[in-house]
Amino acid sequence: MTKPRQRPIMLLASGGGHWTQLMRLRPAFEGHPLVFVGVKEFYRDDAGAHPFEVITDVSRLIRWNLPLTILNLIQVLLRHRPVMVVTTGAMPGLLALRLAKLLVGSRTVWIDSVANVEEMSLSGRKARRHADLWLTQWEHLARPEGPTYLGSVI
Amino acid sequence: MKLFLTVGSMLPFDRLTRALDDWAALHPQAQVFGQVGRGGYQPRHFEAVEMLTPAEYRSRMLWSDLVVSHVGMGTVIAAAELARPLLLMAREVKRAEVTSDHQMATARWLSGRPGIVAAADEQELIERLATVQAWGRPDAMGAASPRLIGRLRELADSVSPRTPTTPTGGA
Repeated sequence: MTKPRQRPIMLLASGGGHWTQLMRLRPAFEGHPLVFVGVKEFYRDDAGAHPFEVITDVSRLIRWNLPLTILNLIQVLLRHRPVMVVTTGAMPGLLALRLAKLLVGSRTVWIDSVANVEEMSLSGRKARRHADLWLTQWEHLARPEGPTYLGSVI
Repeated sequence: MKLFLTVGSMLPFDRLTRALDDWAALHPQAQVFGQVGRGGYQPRHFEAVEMLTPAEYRSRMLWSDLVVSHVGMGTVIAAAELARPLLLMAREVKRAEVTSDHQMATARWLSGRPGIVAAADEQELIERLATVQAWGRPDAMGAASPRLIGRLRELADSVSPRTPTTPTGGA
């Protein structure tokens, strides 16, 4: 019998700035088995030697993708059974945290985008109930009851 | 002058693309290349594509002397890393260009940093293009906050043992 593979840490974000910010967190996870999840095949390069999965993007502007995104996430979560899921948003990140808690009991981390200067994003506010660590990148948005501020990615 | 226009990889931003197209028509000596998104206004006076891969995007930014963009953090971070001056214009909810006005708040936060200028509208954007030489370059952005990285590392170490092939030295 082969030894069961160690459950990885999953790093997941939608495109553009969300992905760029997630990549700046990589030093925190050095030495751990990782799996990267993005919304475009061309982000694979950033995963290096780690596994990379593509899921369908969803947002308020492309909300009809929602069933497909959920299906993709369920498949990816069951395939890798991450011990922890870290996301910088947006809506796919929120869905990932909820499903990861539900399906595989992952520890979950939400880091709201640094672009949300005046208030947490809508997904960020909803992530509260599903995130073990619920972070804003703006000190003035932090509250004793959360979100927590620990600095920013830039 | 070489300008790289980017409106992100998702939605077109016709107000910005059109303003730069009009400017390019009057400045044939300038070289402009754009990533303009799918299904929007097609510029007639410069070359543009719907979407670039991250590698193409990076080399286009390196090619340019100035980046003109919507207020996307991917672009802001890349321009800082590659020390390219940045001219921003925010997408607005009232014009159905985005679903929240966070870009305007981000623009207010960023504007006035070295090498970054945020224009309120198309007219200001065009005016600002004439003064780009005086802006300097953006500060290189440092690594993520050590406190943030430290807390995430602590959490990661508490749930997942490191593999023995870990490169030494950490971050």
